[in-house]
Order: sequence, then structure tokens, then C-alpha cells
Amino acid sequence: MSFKFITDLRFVIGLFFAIVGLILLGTWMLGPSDLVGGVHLNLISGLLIFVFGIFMLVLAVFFPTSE
Amino acid sequence: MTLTWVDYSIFFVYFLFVLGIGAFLKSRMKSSSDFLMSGRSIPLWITSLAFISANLGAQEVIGMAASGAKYGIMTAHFYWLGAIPAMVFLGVFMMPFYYGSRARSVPEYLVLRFDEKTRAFNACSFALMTLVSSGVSLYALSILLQTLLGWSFEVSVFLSAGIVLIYTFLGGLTSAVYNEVLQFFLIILGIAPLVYVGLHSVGNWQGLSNQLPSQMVHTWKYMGSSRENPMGVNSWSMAMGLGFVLSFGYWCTDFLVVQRAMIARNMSEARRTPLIAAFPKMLLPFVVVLPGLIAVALTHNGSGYHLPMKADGRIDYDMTLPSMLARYYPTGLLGVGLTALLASFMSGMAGNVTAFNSVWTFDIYQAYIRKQAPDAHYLKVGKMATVLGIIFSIATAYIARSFNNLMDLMQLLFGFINAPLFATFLLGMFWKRTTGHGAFWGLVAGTTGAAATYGLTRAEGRGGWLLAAPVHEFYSAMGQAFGVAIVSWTTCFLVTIAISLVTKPKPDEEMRGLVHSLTDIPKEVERRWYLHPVTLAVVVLGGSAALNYILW
Repeated sequence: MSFKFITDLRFVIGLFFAIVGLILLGTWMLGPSDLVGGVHLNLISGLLIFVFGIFMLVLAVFFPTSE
Repeated sequence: MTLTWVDYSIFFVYFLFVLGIGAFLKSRMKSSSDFLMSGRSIPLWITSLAFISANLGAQEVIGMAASGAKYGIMTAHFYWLGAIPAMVFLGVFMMPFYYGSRARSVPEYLVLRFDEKTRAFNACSFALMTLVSSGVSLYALSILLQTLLGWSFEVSVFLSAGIVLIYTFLGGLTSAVYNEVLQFFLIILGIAPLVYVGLHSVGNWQGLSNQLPSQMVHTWKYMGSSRENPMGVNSWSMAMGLGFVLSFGYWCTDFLVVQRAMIARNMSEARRTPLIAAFPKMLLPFVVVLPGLIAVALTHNGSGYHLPMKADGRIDYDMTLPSMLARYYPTGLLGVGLTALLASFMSGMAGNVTAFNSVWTFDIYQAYIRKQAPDAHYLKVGKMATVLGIIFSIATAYIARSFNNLMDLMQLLFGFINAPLFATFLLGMFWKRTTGHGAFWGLVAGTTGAAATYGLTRAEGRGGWLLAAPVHEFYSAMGQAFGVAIVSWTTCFLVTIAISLVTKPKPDEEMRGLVHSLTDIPKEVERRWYLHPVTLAVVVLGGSAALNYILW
């Protein structure tokens, strides 16, 4: 398998947001309460950010561009 | 505001990625073109996001939330009226000449179309403007870090400037552009949860509308007279000053943003860069303006939140967004939100520095100091210009610290420099009779006209330094800024025409590819109708008009 995708900006962005999403999810599980206005902010934001990161990683790995 | 190790770990990861991008791109920087123009090899989606992200600096993120709290949803005019039409005009009409001329910068287009003195005027004024802008951005970032995190001014200035220096020095324009894209997503994902939870707290848009004065939730309804709305401008002044002169002056001629389209892979992508960028730009008010309105509603509805105050008892609008983050975000997401603010400052600063190093290298050093040298020499000069740009930015940040009116000076510079420039480009690109003498003296007259208007009028205690009693008093500083821009543009336009008519134009052969009537615009290669520039332009203009109508 070619690892050329690691030079794809989408991979870099995906990796960054996947890590940030995981940090937020970890904080929701282990940290102080994140309940604001009835919403678990770290959980919801962490999930969204993590999913966005994975989406960008998938694009970079499975849909390579000429760049 | 108290941060925990989780928040700092997000800072750390962000800095690691930003610097990593620079380090990774270092090996690709083999020529001055690679370093200063990204080798014209950047894909469309990256140039489009970088195009709006270069403008998504401190003034945008912090400033638009502040304006939202001060003026309400009228602030969205800076997007739907003050950006979208100009971005469309750039993509559809102007980009064929910028890109087709193969000019490496906006000032270089001026030397191809007009002459050396016009290029020199624009290159020097633009270089000055970018340095002041970059320094003010750095100053504002340092004040924010000092206020929120208790970091000293020196640590904040040198740490932020050091990070921007490392990644722009290593990876040049490509590094700045790549980081701008990362920063764009970070700003959106870091601030959007605040809008969600804020709107939820005030009862969504309906609740927000009920809790705010009517003038704050309508874009045009109260624009009949300057006295009726908090911005102090009427609809004519708004449409002509912001919607035409300032907006087109900035989006169509400022090299900082135009550069992002000029590094696209081909003409078709260069044209579509501002058009695709216009789609997220159209929706940005919902992320950066809305928090300001929510903050006002929360202050009035007994939620316990209050707009931040200055020591002298006045509202500190600039701290609206940071105070909202502190109020709502738990540890973890707070780190993301603050990193998004950091990213916006760095993005603005890096954008200015990378535009400065191109203009310095191509339009000042290569044009007037050393014309014939090996490319490696210009690569070295470009890198040195990056270092010097950062050093000047730090110096400007310290000057800004000593003189509290530097921010006003920056706003004035934009009005003085960008507004007349659009008249020069409009005539230069679409009227082949325009001459170099006409363009140069038009610019000088436009800038002088702007200074005279500012000196003869006053608003909120500003301006009016030419006479003991000003000839006109504007209702607001914004109204004055629009007035200055209108006078400046009109003066430049008329003087350029007048002098062009009595001076000799260039021969037609020298203007091919630079003027509309002498250029065969290449046929659009994009075959998918929905990605054609005209389709994109119609859709984005329609969307923008619809948003204006909905929030009329």
C-alpha cells in the first residue's frame, strides 16, 4: 500500500481533528461536568470534531487527488 | 479564566501541527516561485478556503462579534453586501487579467498595464499597510493572551511571532496557505458550538428577536436615515461606501487575498477560487456575528451574563467573544475555542507577512535594487523579507502598545489606499485609453482626497484636523469611513480619466492580455454546468440576496 496520502493536506487536517475530538471525548468521560444548558458540550463537540477528522482521513486515504 | 492541562494540550497539539506543516514543506522550497507563489500548484479547494481564511484574522473573528453586539445583524452587511458581490466580480471579470497576465503580484500587474511609478506607489503603500496590519494583529493577540491567560505582553508577542515566523520561513506561502485551511476549520468548529448553546439559551432566533431592540435584528429596515440605526449610516452610504468602493477596493485589489487565487493551478481554478470561497463566506455571519447578538440578549434577560466592561465603565465590545467562551465552554472545549482565536490571529498575521515578502522581493527589491540575479538569490531575499516582516510586526505591536490610536490609523490606511486603487483597476482593465500618468496621478489625487475629507469632517471625535470647525459632522465613525472612501474613489476615477485623455496611451500590442477589449478570454474548460463560474456566481448572488430579504 502506498503511503503517499500522508502528504495530503486532508490527511493532516483529519489527523489533527481526530486527535482533538478524542481529547474532548476523553475529557467528557474523565473530566468535570460539561453540562451547559442541558447539553454535554464536550461530548457533542468531541463527536462532531472526531467524525469530521475521520471523514477527512477517509477522503485522503481512499480518494487521492493529483496534489 | 482558568485553563487546565487539557486545554493546554490542545494548544500544544495545534502548535505541533502548525510547525509540522512548515517543517514538512521545507524540502519543497527550491525556488523563489515555490517560496513566494507556491509554484502555482495549489488545488482549488485549498485556494478557496485560504482565500477567505486570509481575511479571517483578528478583525474578523473578534471584531465582527464586537460589531454584532454593538450594531446587531446589520454587521452582516460586511458579508452579504461588502464581500460577496466583489468576490463574484473578481472571479468572473478580473481574474482572467490577473492570472492571464502571468503577473506574480498585483503591483506587477500595474507595471505591465501602466508604468513603474504606478507599481512603485502601490507596492510601497501595500508593504506599509501589511506591516501595520500584521503588527496590530500581533498586538491584539498579545493583549488577548495577557487578559485571558495572564501571560506577559513580551511572552505573548515573541511566542506568537516566533511560531508564525518558523512556519512561514520554512514553508513559505504554501505553509501559510495550508495552515490557513487548518485554521479555517478550527475557527468554524471551535466557535460554532457557542452559537448553538447560546441560541439554545435565548430561545433560538425567535427568542433572540424578542429580546433585542428591533434595529438589531433587521439588515435594511432602519437604513432610511443615518439617525434610525445604531451604525449611523443610511442605505445609499452603505451601498456605495461599503458595497461598492471599500468592498471592491479590498476584495478585488488587495494582494493579500488576490494572491490566494493567483496561486491556483490554472485559469479556470483561479476564477472559481473567489466564487467557491463566497459560499462559506455567505454563512460566516452565523458563526462570527451571531455571538455578539446573543451576548446582548443574555445581558438583558437576567441570565447572569453581562457584556464585559472597560475600566472607565464603557462596554468592552472587543472582549464579547472571549467572555462568551469563558462563560459557556467547559474545560476541553475552552481549549478548542481559545485555540481557534489564536488561529485567527496567526492566520491574519501570516497572510500579511507572506503578501509582504512577495511584494518586497518582486516589486521592490527585484524591480529597483537588484534586477538581474540568480533565482537562489531571490529565494534568499524572500526568506529574509519574511524575517524582517516579523521583526517589523513586533516593532509595530510595541508602537501600538504606546499609541492607542494605531487601530484607527490602520482603518484609515485601508480607506486611503484600497478605495482609490479599485478605480485604477476598473479603468485599467476595462478602458484601454487609460494611461500610466492618469493611473498614477489618479491614485495620488484619490489618496489626497481621502486625507482631505478626513481632515475636513469629524465623527465620534475623530478627524477634522484641517479646520477648527469641521465642514460636516457624521453620525458615526463608520459613516465617515464610507464617506472618505466614496470621495477617494470618485476623485481617483475622475482624475485618472481627465489625465488619460490628455496623455498618450500604450500601443495596443503592449496591452494584450491586460485589457478587456484587447484580450480573448480563454474558453471555460470546466464542463460540469454547476461548477461553471457563471453558475456559481448566480447561485451565490441569489443566496446572498435571499439572506438580505429574509432578514430585511
